[in-house]
Amino acid sequence: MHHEEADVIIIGSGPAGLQAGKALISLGTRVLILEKESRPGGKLLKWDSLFPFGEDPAQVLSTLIDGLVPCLRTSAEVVSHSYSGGMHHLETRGGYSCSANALVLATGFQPFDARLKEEYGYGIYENVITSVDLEKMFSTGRVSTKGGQIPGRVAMVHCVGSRDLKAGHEYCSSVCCITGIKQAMKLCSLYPSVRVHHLYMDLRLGGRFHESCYKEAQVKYRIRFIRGRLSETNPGPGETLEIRYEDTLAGKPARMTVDLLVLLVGMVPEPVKCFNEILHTGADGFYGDGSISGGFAWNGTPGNGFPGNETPGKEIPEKGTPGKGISPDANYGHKSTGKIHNGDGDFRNGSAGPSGSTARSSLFCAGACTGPKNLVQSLQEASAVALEVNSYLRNIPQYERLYQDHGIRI
Amino acid sequence: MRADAQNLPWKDFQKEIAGDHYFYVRSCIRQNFFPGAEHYFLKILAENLGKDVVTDPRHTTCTGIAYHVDLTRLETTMTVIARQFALMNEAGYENLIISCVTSFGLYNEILEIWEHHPELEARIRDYLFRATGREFRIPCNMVHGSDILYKFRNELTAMSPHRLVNCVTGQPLTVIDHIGCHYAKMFPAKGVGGAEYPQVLAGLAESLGGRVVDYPERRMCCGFGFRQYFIRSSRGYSLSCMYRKMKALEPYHPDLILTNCPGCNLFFDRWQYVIGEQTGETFGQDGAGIPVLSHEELSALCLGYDPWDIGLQMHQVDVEPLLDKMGISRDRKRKYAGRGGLLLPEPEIPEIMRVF
Repeated sequence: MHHEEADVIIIGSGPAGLQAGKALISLGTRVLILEKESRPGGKLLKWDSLFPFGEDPAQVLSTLIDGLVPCLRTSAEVVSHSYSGGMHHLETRGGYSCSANALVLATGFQPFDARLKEEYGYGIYENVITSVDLEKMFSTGRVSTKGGQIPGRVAMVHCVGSRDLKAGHEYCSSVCCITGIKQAMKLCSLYPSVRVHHLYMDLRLGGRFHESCYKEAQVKYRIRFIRGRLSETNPGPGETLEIRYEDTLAGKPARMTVDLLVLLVGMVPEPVKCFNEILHTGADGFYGDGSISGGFAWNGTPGNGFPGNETPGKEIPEKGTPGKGISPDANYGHKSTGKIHNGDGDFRNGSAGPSGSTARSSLFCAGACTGPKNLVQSLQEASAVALEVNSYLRNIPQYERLYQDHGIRI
Repeated sequence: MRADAQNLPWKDFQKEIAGDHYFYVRSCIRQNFFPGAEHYFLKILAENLGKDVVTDPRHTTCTGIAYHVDLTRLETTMTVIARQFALMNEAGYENLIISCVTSFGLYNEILEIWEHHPELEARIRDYLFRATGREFRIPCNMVHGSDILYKFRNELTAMSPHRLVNCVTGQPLTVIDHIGCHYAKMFPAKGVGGAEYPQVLAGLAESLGGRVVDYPERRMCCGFGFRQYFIRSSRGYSLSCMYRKMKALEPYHPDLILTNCPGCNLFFDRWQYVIGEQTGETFGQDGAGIPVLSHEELSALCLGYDPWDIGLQMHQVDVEPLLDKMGISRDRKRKYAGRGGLLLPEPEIPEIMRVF
């Protein structure tokens, strides 16, 4: 059995995992990145272009992966985890094992299984597809119905599996609105004759330049936005689909015949089984509890070890000066770096690490596994997590220098 | 539709259905329009399946119809339903079978409300005690009548001499299933197979040898919808719902429409005739209608009970084309015979929609 040791093991080689790895390596840390699939890149491999400017994900990936290849272990799905002697020990399905002082989970999300919304017809009608399927079509350069026709009328349904009690996911996945708008514009630029209709509950376009995409979609591409939710999909004449929805602005039930129905699927948490006992999830199923202080406290005791919380009413350290003068065992005001403190244990070489480290205190989390976020947010968070990990490992406050070196806001 | 469309994630969803010792509450309308249905349901349970089932003549309407047309207050409805629970407890039972889909939905709705508002439940307990001196416990298991027949579908099929199979060609008969809206649309987890593609009737029909087809308006309301039907001015809307459904299922040439809700059964049966009178259109073969059966009637028919004892002659759409296809023999003379063989006058033959 092949065994390796490192300072940090990152589970997941999506954008967050790669960014965290890159940052940690630049800090002089020995890193291993485990990827369960045969290729690194995570969801970046599934997209044809990125919002808001249609950048090429392959290019983003190649930048991220640059210099990381020696650290990457693909087809390495983690199946067991243990903690002893201040080290995390992982075993993968292929029999490969590794150990490290700290772990970063960057396991991302899964797209919602649209079949669960049976009334929308995914898996029932050929021409009902998801946003993930549409990206796949884009990457082949051709979008067509199952029968090979160029679609004349397309409807895109927002919030599929998000903000949906019946689907069990009450949260907003935050990226589907802009994904749908990006895809609609791409579709219109590929086939100028296509008419795209969006069925939305409300549009959540909080990201930078997302609103301008929305405007461009309406002004330049004449994409129609209908406030209403799909109630059900039925087969229409020939290859078409007849969709039934309510136009809530007009206050009327309505129908539309479309050639292609695109379901903008949300994000679903995918906790790694072997961490179920030590990692806690919020009500939404993502790691952490989402509170500013509790974001660190997966063991269910919010504020545990978090200096800002020990004294009620004390504010989070100001941006730009985190960590200064506070013990390295503590965490500083980043919402979802997800670190747990306290407890007994040791650390490599007995003195290099913070005293009292435990399996939980050396577990970190980055990217969409702590809640829906877009690529930019994931990368930003991963950089911040890397600083936390480094601080944990080195037991020295390095934030100030790193901030200057990398221009990373934390 | 895709060939593998039956690979639906909810399809295998099963709810808990008690295996024995049931208290049965009847429907207000089922036995009026389809007089054999509930009688044969109880007979099948007690005699064919050997189950312990009782009903209490003191039980009343659940007030569902009045509730849905805003004639009763919610508290009144709750108290009436609490009384049914009390009767069940007094009889020594904890598993409730509900005949009517409207009632089934209403019972579930009330239990759900009580879960969120225990203070309301406490108030209802007080009302019931003050009005009748009764107390009640919430049922351990509460299901619809069709759930029971679904649960025992394999046993029923094993003891049935007749199948949903064309006796001449050996091909399965084509069945359209129509589930009452209140069966699972409000609470998907209360329905076998969820809300969109419920398996409760499809499972029964397939077990009996039939082929269930999917059609565009499968989930659409039959048009009963209380406010549509009971308010005269909106009856046209009610009828237009049924017309749309019939037009949607017509191309599939069904041999049978199978329902689990008394209202739906009534509407599919009667409205086919009304549509015939209004538009001249009929949807079955050779000017006939498409026979409509409820889950109880179908089970009783397959088990070999006499169709005229089950009360199938009381249907507006003649069921004889279906009986012929299934190869069920019957005595023509008994079709309109009353109790003790007394011959009753035969109904008028309508000009539209063929009667055999």
